[in-house]
Amino acid sequence: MKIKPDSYMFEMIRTELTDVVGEDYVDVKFADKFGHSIDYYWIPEMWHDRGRECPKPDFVVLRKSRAS
Amino acid sequence: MKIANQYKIPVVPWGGGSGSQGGALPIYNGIVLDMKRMNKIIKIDKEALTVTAQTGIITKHLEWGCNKEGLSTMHLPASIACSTIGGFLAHRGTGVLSTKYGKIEDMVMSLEVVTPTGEIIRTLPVPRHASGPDLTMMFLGSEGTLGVITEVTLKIHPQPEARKFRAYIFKDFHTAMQAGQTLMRSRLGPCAMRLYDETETKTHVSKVFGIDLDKGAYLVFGFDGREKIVDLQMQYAREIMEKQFHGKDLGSKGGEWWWENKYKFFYPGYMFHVPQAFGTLDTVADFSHIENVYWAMKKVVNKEFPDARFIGHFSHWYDWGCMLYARFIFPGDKVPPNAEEAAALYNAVWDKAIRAAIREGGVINEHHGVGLKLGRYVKDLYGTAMPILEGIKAKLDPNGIMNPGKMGLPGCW
Ligand SMILES: Cc1cc2nc3c(=O)[nH]c(=O)nc-3n(C[C@H](O)[C@H](O)[C@H](O)COP(=O)(O)OP(=O)(O)OC[C@H]3O[C@@H](n4cnc5c(N)ncnc54)[C@H](O)[C@@H]3O)c2cc1C
Repeated sequence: MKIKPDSYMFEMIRTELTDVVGEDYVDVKFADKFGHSIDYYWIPEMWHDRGRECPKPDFVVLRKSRAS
Repeated sequence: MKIANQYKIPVVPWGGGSGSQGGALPIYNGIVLDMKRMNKIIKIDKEALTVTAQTGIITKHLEWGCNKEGLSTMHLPASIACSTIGGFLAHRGTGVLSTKYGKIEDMVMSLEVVTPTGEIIRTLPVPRHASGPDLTMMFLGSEGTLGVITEVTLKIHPQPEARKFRAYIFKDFHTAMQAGQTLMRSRLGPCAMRLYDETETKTHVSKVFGIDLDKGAYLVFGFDGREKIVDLQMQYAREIMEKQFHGKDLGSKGGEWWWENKYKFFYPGYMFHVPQAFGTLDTVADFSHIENVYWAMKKVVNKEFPDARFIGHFSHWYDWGCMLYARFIFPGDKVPPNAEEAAALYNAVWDKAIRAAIREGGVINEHHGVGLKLGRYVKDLYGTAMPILEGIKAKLDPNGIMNPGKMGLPGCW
């Protein structure tokens, strides 16, 4: 999907998510998104090694319970 | 999930990110749902011997929780310290004691799942029922494509009085394979068994143990439970290994080496790393087919990719067959510096080796899952049953938001 981070829709969705899980538990910083862009699969690791960009999430959401 | 459905945003569950198949990668961006805050042990039931936990718990923490009560999940994978129990449920993963205690799917009593449309459902509380098809099994191995598994109840076990190992070197891999199969057919019930082909014995097992093993194939197995029974099982197993197959006995010490080092194989110094290109060609087949699968894969890798090395061991053994943990490894200087060319070479090995395995009756795969890496072979594997899998996905996830593009299921972005 890739919502532009400077679009109002990005902020609309981000605040809707923080409303459910709390401000601290929706990460949109580069470092957090980067950490969720490579797993133990060789291809993304190699891609990163070659200086290429791997797809990143728009939001990293950390839930504490299954329902609010 | 309701928000994601409203705006049609992809949702990808993320446990420890230790999966090797690209299953947790957000290939279409969207939301990564990191499960690690859902990390509580909810209940240990000492009568039923079950544990109920949230699925974001690190597998080792779950094991520690059970150990405090003198109990164990007996789910001991090499990634125990960096993976969540949810990741194992999602990939039908396994641990080193699988031969006796089963893979994760054999351990599950029931699940709580948040469906793609945001409903919270529970599967039936016990696995042995005759109340229709088993929804628990449908969610196990679904890799986040059919929902988020939020809670699990697992069988647990008392710690055994004794766990003993023994190892042998056989003159070649074929003889060791026959010995291993005979032990399984004897129904003596080992808790673990592992057989390394000649190349992996020489290059890998020797290095991990820090000793020079003889030429041949290394086979190790163990039994656990009440000590007297373990000793008796071991005695019968030794007769098979020594009298029937003339294995060279490395004694209990030779077996303990493996148990002590069982995770070391997968960690730096012993594992492969970029710039090398490497992959685990995880395949499972019954005893009538497994050797042919091994030879077919080895032949295709050796012939088509002379720069690559092929090694293999057989990790998880069942009454009817076993798992082949085959690997190909390209040295770093034989991997193209260009990313697209490197990816093309890598995928070509998989295409050839996996299709050779399927032709010989192998199933890809036994415990690593499908993810992004193997999605394109799922249609070959399922054949005319594929529309059933696709239909389940379409019904449960009408907007296609859950981990799109994985497991050979549609990616809609
Ligand atoms: C050093 C090393 C050793 C390993 N040894 C073993 C081994 O012995 N046995 C073995 O089986 N595997 C092994 N693996 C592979 C890996 O650890 C397993 O596949 C593990 O199950 C992944 O768990 P994770 O929490 O890291 O999941 P992730 O990699 O984060 O995710 C894997 C998949 O599960 C999905 N998922 C995660 N949590 C949930 C959830 N709660 N609900 C729904 N879907 C979910 C993700 O979307 C993704 O598709 C090893 C990996 C490494 C790095």
